[in-house]
Amino acid sequence: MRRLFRQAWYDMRHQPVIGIVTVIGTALSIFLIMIVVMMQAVKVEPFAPESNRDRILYGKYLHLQWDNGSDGSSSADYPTTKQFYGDLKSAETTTIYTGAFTQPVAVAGKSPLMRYVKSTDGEFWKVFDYRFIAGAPYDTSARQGNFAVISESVARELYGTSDAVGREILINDWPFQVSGVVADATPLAREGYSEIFIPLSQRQIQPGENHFGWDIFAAILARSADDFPAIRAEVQARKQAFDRQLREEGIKLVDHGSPFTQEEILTIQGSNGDSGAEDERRARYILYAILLLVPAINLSTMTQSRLRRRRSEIGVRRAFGATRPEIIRGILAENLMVTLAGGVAGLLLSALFGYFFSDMLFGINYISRHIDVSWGMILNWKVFLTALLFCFLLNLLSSGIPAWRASRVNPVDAINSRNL
Amino acid sequence: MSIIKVDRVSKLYRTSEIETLALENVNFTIDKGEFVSVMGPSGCGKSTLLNIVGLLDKPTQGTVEIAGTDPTGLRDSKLAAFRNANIGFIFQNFHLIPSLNVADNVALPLLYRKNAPSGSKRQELIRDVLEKVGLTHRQRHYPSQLSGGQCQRVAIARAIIGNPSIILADEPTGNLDSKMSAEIMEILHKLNREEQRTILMVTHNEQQAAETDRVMRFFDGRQISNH
Amino acid sequence: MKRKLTKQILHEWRSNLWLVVELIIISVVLWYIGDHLAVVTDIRTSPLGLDTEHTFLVSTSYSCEGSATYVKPQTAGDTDSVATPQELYLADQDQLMNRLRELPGVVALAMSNGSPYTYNYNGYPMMMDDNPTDDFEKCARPNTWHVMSDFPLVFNLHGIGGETPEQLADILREGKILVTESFCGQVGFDGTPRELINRKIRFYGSSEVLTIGAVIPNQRRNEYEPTAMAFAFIGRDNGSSGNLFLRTATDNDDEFIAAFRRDLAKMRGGNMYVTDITSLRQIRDDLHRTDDADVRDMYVCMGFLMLTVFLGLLGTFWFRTQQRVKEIAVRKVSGATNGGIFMRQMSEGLILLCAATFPALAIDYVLEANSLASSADYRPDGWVAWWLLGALGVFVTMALMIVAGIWFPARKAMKVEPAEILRGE
Repeated sequence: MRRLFRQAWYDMRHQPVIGIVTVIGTALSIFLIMIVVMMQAVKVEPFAPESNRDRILYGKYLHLQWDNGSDGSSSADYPTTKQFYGDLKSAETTTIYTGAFTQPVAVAGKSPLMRYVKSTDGEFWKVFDYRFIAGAPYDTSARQGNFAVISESVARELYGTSDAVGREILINDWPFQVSGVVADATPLAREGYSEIFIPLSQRQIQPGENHFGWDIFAAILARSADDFPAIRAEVQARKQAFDRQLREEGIKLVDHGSPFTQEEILTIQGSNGDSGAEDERRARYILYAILLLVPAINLSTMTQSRLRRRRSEIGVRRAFGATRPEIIRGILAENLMVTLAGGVAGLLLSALFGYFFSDMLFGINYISRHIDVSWGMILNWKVFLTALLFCFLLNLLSSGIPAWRASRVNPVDAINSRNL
Repeated sequence: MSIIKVDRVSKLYRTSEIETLALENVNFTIDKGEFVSVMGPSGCGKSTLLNIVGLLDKPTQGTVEIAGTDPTGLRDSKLAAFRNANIGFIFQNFHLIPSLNVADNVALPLLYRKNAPSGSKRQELIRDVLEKVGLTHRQRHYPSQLSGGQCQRVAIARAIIGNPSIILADEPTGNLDSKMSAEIMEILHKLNREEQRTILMVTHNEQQAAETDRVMRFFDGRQISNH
Repeated sequence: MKRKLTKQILHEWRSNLWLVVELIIISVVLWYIGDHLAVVTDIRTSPLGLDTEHTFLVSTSYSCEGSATYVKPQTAGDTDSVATPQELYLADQDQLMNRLRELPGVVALAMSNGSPYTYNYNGYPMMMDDNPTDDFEKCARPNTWHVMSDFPLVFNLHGIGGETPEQLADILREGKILVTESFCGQVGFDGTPRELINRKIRFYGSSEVLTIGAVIPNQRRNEYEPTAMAFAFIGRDNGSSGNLFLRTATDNDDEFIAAFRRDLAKMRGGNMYVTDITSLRQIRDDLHRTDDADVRDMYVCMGFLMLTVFLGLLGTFWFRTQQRVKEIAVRKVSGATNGGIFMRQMSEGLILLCAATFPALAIDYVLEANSLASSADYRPDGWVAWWLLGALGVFVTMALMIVAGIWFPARKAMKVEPAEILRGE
């Protein structure tokens, strides 16, 4: 190890321009790759309040076609959503909730603030893990009173304290009683995010025209991701039954594969579109390939240059009994030191960038709020391993061929070349 | 008992434009513990011979047998292990690795040896060989901080640390002044005398050659004398 | 001179091959992204139709019985007639709108169920009324918005025949509809768009007939929407349809919003009250955020690739200069000028770029011809120009990067002192 460091340091001192260009090139490549990795990670990796992302399936949208050729798609109404996704035998539970919309909220006599409000059933609190600072979630099965759960910052804005349980809040001019206060969520929790939560209203659970509803969604919590096929099969059976029923009225259900995984739900192309997860993944892989390959070619000419100055050394090593694989391993290991130096710089840079420019990097359509990220979301062992993996790949790509060629060098010629 | 056996060896270099016969039908044997020097004008094939004996190069025709082994057909890894165990090289340009200090340069052959000693045993071994060349106080120095003579002494230490029975020296004093040359030659003679190491040395210096057991002379790829 | 240089380049073919391969890849990727960005920019800079500068969306809410600020409506004294909830609602809406109209700076106010940046996909199939059969396939399916007559004033809408916003407002008030130029083609009309004026259209599956009062330029709902889909604006003054929009004459949107929010409590008409005001610019930014980010990321990607070219050539030529010090010294001794040495290094890089450009051009062409590049779909007829223009742009950009990358090594080569180098031999 010490020997590897020393070789890297020696190269750096004797070839500063090539050394610096190599480190910068590596850092730049790893920086951009890790930014892409982080952008994807905040979309699919679990974090509170969406700690269960890897075992949630989302049920969204209804697409119908009439025999006369007209076509409609939107979210389903509450009864249809429940019919498709509610009370599944193969799942732990299902929650039905609405999107989050800004609504005026106020304490009596004060001018209102516009805050995101989401209507949910009681199961919501089992599927999404909001941390309660005070009070408790509302229980919709009891359906008594108008209760609301509010975020800590809303509580502070309205009451000056986070201990707001029992206080009255006017939401869209309707009085609610605060039943609990939760820690603020990051808007990156795209499904679970809101600032205020209230139970689904009587109006929201009514059947809608043609089974369509207004931004009603379902999140199915599986016991584990292994149960996804069983859940999908169960939902499929229910959809088929629904379809048979509709056919009698001359309507056809168009299936787009709902319920969707976390990765799929992010790439749904509208209420009448399929998931574009495959395409996005392919695009991401191409991006990784470009971000790796282009600098790798660059770096490999640089490695080549450095190795050319060390030809006679390689010859001597061969003379003293180094095998070809040993030469290759040695060069790869030495180069890995340089790659890792650049990689660490790139990773640190990307983490700092991700943390301090989170709004710019992770911004979400429609939600105009500061995007909070925690260090844990952008710097965790998965990110480290990914960065390490990309460093290995980059190292292999950038010094693999030069190392292989160096190992093929005829030791006699190498020793006689006078460039030690 | 012969330790190096060169049997009807020829070496032909062929490029698209030119063919060069570097060695032509060379035959000789060297016994264990002999100190043999090779002489001849530049380009007479002596370096080629050394490379072939050192198993760095293959003859176009004929066979060599080193320490009872015919390397023909050995795989690269076997060949490397064989060189590592049996042959130590000394070069005119020293060829120390500039990024390694003296101790690490000396220990280079151990790096490529399975079951090489490590830790304090390795240190001991390094100290031992450096003692033999009189350089124990320079372990932490780098080649750039040493004089030419000191560099060549480090190179000798490197050549013997793996305890090879054969040392191949390619003009070991070619880049040194006469005082340093004398020191180096003394070390080589000592290694030959006290440790019975077989030495095959290429040199341009008649006096140095005269002090060895036997001188082989080459001209235009042909061996023209052996006594 | 040039032939010798080419010979030297061929001599070092192995390391040059890698450089050329790298330049080809970068050239193709740059071209591909550049092509896409050019298409996106072309779309973004084409007219949106409506003018959304200094326009605002006013969000309202309505207090119902039981809610905190509910005001019991005064019953009309003399008459026995009791107003229906809908009448009460519309009366409150009128009252609120009148209240807003009086605000300083407000020049126009209208409700509409659609506007740029607020998604509205409402559409009704329509056909020319002289079309005898109810054929669904022959219908235009314009995005159909119900708007108050003052809508053209709020969004400064002009007709293609030179109609002013005021004239268009009058046309809407007469019960005639406005359609976009693109409607003409969709509905299968043979004449020019202007000839559509005063022609009648009919809703699919209905006998309701409307008259086209004016034709307006094509509209888009946001800046990334490429197609000019057909639109129809139908006047509806007696009703509540969607959102409330207003236009101000003041230049400073933020000041207007701040002042408006300060007086939010006063923005009330009966039980209808204002909850917030947002500029359409803000709504646009919220809507475009990820698309804008995608565009930004593509620029970053291009920047990265150009930096890579710069670093790659800097490193490679730095090393080459070191290797060729002797050669350069000999050249200098033989009478080469500093400028000549400098240009020789530069030419080497540019020749490599030229060598990379031809295969890159071919790959770009294949991408275009197979509709894999953005401009191929966007300009099916004119893609050859896009292909070549893009390639030219890429060539120039990369040439600049190469010159920048080789600059320092070439300067270094220029400064080689032949006496010193050759003495060292």
